[in-house]
Amino acid sequence: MNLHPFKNEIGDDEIRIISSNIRYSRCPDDDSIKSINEGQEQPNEDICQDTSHEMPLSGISYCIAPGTEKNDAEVELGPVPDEILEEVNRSLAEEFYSEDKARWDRLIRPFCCYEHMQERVNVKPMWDEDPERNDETRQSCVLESIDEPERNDEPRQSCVPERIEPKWNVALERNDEPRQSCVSERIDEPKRNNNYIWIIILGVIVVIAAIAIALGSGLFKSDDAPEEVGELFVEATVEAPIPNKNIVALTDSIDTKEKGDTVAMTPIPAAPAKHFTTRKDTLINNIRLVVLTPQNSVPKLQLIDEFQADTTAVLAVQAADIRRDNMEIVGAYVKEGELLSKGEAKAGFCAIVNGQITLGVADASPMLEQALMNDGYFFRQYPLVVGSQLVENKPKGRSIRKALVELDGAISVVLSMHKLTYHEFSQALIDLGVRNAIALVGGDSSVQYIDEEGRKFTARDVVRYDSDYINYIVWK
Amino acid sequence: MERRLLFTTTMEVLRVPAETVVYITADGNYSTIMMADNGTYVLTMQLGQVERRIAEIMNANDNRFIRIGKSLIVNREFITSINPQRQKMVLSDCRTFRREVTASKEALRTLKELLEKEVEL
Repeated sequence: MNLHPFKNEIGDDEIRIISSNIRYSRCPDDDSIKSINEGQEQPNEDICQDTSHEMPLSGISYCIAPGTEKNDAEVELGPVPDEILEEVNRSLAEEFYSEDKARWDRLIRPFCCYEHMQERVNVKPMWDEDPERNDETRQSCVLESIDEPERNDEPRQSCVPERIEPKWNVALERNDEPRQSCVSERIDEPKRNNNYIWIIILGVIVVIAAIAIALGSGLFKSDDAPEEVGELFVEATVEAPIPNKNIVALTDSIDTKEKGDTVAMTPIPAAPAKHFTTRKDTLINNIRLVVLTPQNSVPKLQLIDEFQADTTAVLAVQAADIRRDNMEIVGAYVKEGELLSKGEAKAGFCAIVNGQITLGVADASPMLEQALMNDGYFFRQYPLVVGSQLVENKPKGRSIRKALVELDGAISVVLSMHKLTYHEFSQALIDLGVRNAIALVGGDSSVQYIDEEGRKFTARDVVRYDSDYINYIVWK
Repeated sequence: MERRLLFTTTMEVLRVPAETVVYITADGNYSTIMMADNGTYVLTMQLGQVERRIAEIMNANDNRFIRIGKSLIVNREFITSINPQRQKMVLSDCRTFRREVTASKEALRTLKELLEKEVEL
């Protein structure tokens, strides 16, 4: 039998019985969820009967029982090193299921009882001998209650009490004798608590320092609380790569509008905004959608040569379609105020003027002139959603769809993970809450983004046509 | 009272009786539940999260679900045949539906031994 219940991750060649006796812990280091089986093929109701003491999502650590049967007397208690834990877990996985259950009962179960442990290694309990207090202490740390009919005369608690700080100096070399073990969830609690205390203290110091710096620089002297405004309109006010300028300009306009007079604004010191893209996987009527939202970045259009030479874009998606016959752009296309293509084959448009994106549907849009006059950008695509209403389009085939959407007041790119018709995609976008949307180049067109941690993701990187006019909408 | 598996996402809630779940497959960040009525549900959860959810919900003595490799959880009640050599496993209620899934030879061999052992017991 090749079961591996103690492994955190499961391999392709392994199987694992799922039951409530599998315990899961969240690793404090990488926040991953790890599973820990009690080591039983068949769940035994004797174990974990009292589920109120189980902590399925708390940190669970292992301890090994005091030594082997040979050298019990040599063992002292102490912190269990990680390498021992790994070794024990591995060996337990091999031993538990390579042998019969009787072996489990003989080797493991006795050591899940503290009194047995005490008996074997002559450990003096660190709690008071007062039986009532003992009971309290044990109640607070009980993890498993084992009803063992043949051992009625012995206590049934199965873990080390909280106050014990055992010192383990177990010989690391693997003995011929099988290792005994028990599962304890609290044995490294004091160490974790110490870490938390230090983290909290450090956090408090950092917060105090930050407040002191902010007070010193006059950040909180403004009555207009610009932070919220800056955050709320961060997507719509990306005019320049310097965030301070954005905040000042925005605050200025709000003051003028609300108070009717102008206010002399001084630049507000702020931390440099970080450019990245947030990703959200969602599901609409069993249709998988990925929503990519650029943060603190400015949109523009680039042709393929410029795009390939510049790798700083936090989000890039192919924008306008290319004609198969002449390999030129379909519909009107403006790049930095220069008209590269004419036409109105598709009614939807995206205009980028002064860093602001406008999505709409119009055969003749003044936004085209705006883009030409202000060195802006403009391209045409199929309209999908206008004012939360579905727009029908002629193509009826299914493909991976992509769209530039206005969602929750921000501009995002939505990708479908299924092949959909335009109708299905538009309907899914409406259900998602999209207000306006136009299509982007679908199928296996290129998509890439950089997340908050600076990792670059490329969904596809296929260029179907050999055209100089393959173009991208990018955010920087 | 039949026990239902409850999965919640930001968009929806899914409640399905455990005995009607045939198998669950992984697809990247998503998992797909195949039901006994041939219906499917897609979850925005990784298979590990689904496994944890099942373990939390199910009774202690209910071990019908088995994780096989990285991308499959099966309901053992529906396992009809296992062929490790062909890397095939048939899940069926022998009446209304029949589904075939694949897994590694080693995993299927282990599963076969496990089920054989249960029969012996």
